[in-house]
Amino acid sequence: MARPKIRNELRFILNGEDVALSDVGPDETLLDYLRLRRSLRGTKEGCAEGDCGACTVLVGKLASGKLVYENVNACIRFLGSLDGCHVVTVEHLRGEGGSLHPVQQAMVDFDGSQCGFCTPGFVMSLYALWMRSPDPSVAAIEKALQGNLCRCTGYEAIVRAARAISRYGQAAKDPLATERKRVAARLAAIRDGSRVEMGEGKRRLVVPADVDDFASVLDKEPAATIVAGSTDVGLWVTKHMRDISPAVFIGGLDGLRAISEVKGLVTIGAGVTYSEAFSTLAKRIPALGPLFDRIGGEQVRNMGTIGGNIANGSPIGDTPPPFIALGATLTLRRGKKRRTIPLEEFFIAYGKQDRRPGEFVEAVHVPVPAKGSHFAVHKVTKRRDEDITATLGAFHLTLAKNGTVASIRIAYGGMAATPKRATAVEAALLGKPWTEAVIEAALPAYDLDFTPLTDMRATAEYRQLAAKNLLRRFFAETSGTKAPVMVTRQEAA
Amino acid sequence: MSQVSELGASMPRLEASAKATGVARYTADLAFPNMLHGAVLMSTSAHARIKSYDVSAARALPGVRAVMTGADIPRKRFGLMIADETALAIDKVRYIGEPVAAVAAIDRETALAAAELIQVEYEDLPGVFTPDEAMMPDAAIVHETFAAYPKNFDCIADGNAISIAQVLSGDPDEAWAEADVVVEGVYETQAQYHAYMEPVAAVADVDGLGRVTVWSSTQSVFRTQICIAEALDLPRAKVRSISPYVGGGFGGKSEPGVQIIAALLARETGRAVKVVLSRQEDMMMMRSRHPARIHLKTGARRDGTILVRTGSVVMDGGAYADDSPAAMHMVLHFLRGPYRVPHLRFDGRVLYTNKLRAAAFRGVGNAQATFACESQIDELARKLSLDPIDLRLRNVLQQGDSWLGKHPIGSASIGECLQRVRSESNWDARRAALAEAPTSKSGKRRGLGVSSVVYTCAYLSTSAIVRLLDDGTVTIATGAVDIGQGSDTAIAQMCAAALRLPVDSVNIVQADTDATPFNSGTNASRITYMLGQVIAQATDDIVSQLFPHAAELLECSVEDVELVPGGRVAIKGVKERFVSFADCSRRAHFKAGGPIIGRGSYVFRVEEPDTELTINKGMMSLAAIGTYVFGAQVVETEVDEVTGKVEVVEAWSAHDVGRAVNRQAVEGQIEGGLVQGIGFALMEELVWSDGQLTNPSFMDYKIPCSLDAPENIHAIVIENPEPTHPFGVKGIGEPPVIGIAPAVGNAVEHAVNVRVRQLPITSERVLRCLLDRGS
Repeated sequence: MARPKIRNELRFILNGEDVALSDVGPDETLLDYLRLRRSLRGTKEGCAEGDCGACTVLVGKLASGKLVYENVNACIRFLGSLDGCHVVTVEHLRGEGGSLHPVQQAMVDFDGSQCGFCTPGFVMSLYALWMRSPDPSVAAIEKALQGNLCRCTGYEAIVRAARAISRYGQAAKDPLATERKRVAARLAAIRDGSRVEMGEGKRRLVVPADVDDFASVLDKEPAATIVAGSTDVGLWVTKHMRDISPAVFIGGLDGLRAISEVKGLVTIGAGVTYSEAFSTLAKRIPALGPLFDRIGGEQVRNMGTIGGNIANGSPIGDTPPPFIALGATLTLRRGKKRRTIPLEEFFIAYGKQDRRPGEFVEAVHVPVPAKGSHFAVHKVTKRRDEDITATLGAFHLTLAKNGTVASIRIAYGGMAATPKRATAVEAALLGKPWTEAVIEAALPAYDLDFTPLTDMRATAEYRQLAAKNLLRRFFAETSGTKAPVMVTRQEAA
Repeated sequence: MSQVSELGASMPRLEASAKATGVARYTADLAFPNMLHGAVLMSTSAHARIKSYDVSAARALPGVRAVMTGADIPRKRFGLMIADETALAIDKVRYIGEPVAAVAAIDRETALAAAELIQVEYEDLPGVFTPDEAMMPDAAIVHETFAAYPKNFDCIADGNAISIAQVLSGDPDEAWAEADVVVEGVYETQAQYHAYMEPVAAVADVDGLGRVTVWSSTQSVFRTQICIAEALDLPRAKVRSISPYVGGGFGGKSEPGVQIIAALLARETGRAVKVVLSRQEDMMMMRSRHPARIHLKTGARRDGTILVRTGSVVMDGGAYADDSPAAMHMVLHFLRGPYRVPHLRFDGRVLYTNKLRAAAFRGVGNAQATFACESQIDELARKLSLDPIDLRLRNVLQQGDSWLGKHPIGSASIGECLQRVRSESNWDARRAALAEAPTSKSGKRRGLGVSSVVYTCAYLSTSAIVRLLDDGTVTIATGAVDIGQGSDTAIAQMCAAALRLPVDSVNIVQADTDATPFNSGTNASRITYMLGQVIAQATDDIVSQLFPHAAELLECSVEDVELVPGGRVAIKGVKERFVSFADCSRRAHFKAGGPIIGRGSYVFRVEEPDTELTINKGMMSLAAIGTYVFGAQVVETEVDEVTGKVEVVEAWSAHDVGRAVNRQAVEGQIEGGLVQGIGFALMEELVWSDGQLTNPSFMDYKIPCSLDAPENIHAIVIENPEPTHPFGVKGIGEPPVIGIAPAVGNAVEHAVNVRVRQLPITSERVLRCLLDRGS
């Protein structure tokens, strides 16, 4: 591998201005930079963990040469991830002739702002939606606003405002649309094929030039923190005050952002975000669509990566259980060496994955379910959306012609220290007729597979009950029976 | 934009564009030259004696300018009803998260690092973490010196009790004999976090004269001034309190946040100091709604006529009293509901525990009482096989009825509110259809539930100064803090309407104890009602001074002139013979009489309760509590029998607001309150383990997001002008939150035939009830 050029400077565009920074720590957030260093205080801090959206800004990035603007949480976005990006804050919005921007005028006229603290964040999320979809449905609006909390309005007035934005202006004539080519050219010029490197000790930051460069950086510094979407690592810094230096920022690496399909096997690069994966996965594996809609808010889906969700090994990550149920495999790479393993084997114990020093997750390969097989995912949470899983069950069933279970893979999140297959339950079902009696007889096997914990999201008893009921729901959905029969007290005991 | 104000029209808020563009400055956005940044060290022990501090390492950290502990501050206590708090713990800590020490440094990072270096030696004491533990005979005492604390009401208490009170009317013991049916249950509500989007923040500065100025996120600049003055042992005049834009409060910012800590650090360093809490600190340090356990029993005749109701209430007040006595008195006051209940007795007790303090939260006390009251009304309806709305209508208060002790209720429109939600929701047909519908294939059922809502909306005192400027525009100073509910716009609209001016001719002075007259605070849904009273006085005062100038200029008699729209005074019936406000005001400013200033002052007071009719023991005076506001709410819920998950799919909320000043803002209060009520009903709950809060973040404490709000919220505004008010208005800030939890519980019962008496109605609780119900 040829050593790339080194640049000791991060470069991005902030609103209308070119920025070059050579004194950035790996843990410096975009929000602190905006508020403290630049006095751009329209962007607010409400939670510092990507849950409330008060800090929402737009980040424009080049994807296959095309400039795409996405709303993201500035509070958990590191400056190190912005090389070659265009950051747009609420202060940049203007309407024609110095008037309010259409998004802002709609929010004013429809009383979309009460206390106003969340308002700039909502404005930015609505702006991203409007550019993408100038005449959105209510469902699309509610989905786009999932990651913005408002405690005053009950969201109704904001939704009314969102529906009216196009009355106040045309998205095609918006400055971010009309200047797209010029901005894209400026961003392309920043991305000069260099590796960005700065700082020593606790302030070391690396942005590799490409995937091969990333492999060699990690090979040399195996203890480095890999930062992709920073929806998890961001919290290590803002909540747990952890030192992440040296940090390697890989969110901008095109080589990790490809999605391809060969013979029914979808390969997703580790750097593909939830938003980027959505259209392919929702089309090829429809049951994943609603699940992906319920991962975080839109800002988190725009930042968080499939690879990160797997690599961090959380027992409540939302993608591993369905991928395991589908029989996915994982490619890990160190230097030039690659190995591919069944996904479930990657998760060894709580906080421990089969990732060797210097190795990184390069891609996950997900088989599309065969025609005639049944696949479903059900997630149980306290709040319907943008919430962490209490339990999540994924089911992949193939029935033989005689109505018996030819194959079944069941995996759960939130039920053990890792995402885990329900092997005892699977064994109790395999080869048997797909009937209510067989389902009922298989339920006790849950107690062999899982000993869930009690925490503030759910008690162990509830997790076990809900997990069993999800199998009943899957049965109801895949058979001719009516509503699922509930678990009774004796069975629960 | 030159809108002639018409009360009842919708208009955008005055400050809406400042908020939409991000220009509006909140406390955390303020910056001063040379400003320092503060950090607070929180107690890690739930109950302990402080043995010693070691601050040497913190002081030695480069960039640190001050380190203060309880040993460095005046031993002066403050508190709304019971003076039991200090800004930093002195001698003892009483909850995990209590401020123990504070640091000022050149940046927040340094301040936080220094706070971590402070060593505090604790001698742990046994803790009490629930009211039941606090009531044990051998319980550890949270406040040993309670008896010596100054109090401003007739406080009855013992042990760990903050307040013990009773309301008694009629002869409940005898009345049970007449009851054909009795329903009884225990209803529990949880600790709900206010979750204002702006965490608590303050900036304090000092001048060479020893005056302290504090900018802060507060619901009352005057309560802030009073508490700082008391804690620092300063005269009121040495403390100036200002509120920039406030990012929500909901009751959580009525009493101090970190203002006193900021003021202490500013005095110590002689420099401006900013203290902004992180979300986690705010959740661990500030307040929650009072958890309550209410044992309620109602007796009625077979025809549904309610005869008697008794109840006992135990509330968790947390480590400091704040407004706990008031919260409990509100529970006792509202437990009867908006019904004729001839015989009643309610006993209440609120206790200290070693947890976060509980405090006022939108619908204080009432939300807890209404959950019990309105759940039980449905249980009674079920027992009597009556329609829940029919049963309510049989018992509702009628015009001419009164509350406890002949407390006047004004327009008794509760029946009208119930009729409106019944017709708008198509209640009868919809309820029947849902009951007959089969469970969906995926295991979901729907139900419809109702709740009555009653609240009060005036309280304490307020004042206003309206000045007519020389160009004929006006400036109004009221001391009212707009925390997002829209009162600045309502004030401007009422003022403009009274003077027949365009709204944009009215300037509102930011709440500032130096510049605006007294207002007790933005709470109890009081601002629009109270401000209307003083605006009417002050504008009448302006007019009485204006007319003589106009008469002089028009060469006619004062009796012959009248206001006409657009800032003019004309000869009666001859509107083309006029002079402008500017003409009159210039004459006053430069020729005769001097500048025109109008004033208004008002304190809400009705007669003390009639002790022949109602005995109130240990209660604050009900004579200060205001005008009644009625409403009714209906929700349709969907229950997932597989997971227990409940969702609200549609809601109707009807409220008699007297008269809407800004219709769009009224609807916004209804929609916003209703969704907050959904959070209370279904998902929000602070959870402690041995005094340690387990979910102090928005990751683990969930408030409703856009998809949790019902697809359709029908805000129904009913207008029966309030006879005691010059503009006919009533408050609407709190009522919409109140009835949602019981309406949801009632709808869940309608859907799946289980009664959940504990909030929040989580999937887990519903599933457990479904198990008990059986298939």
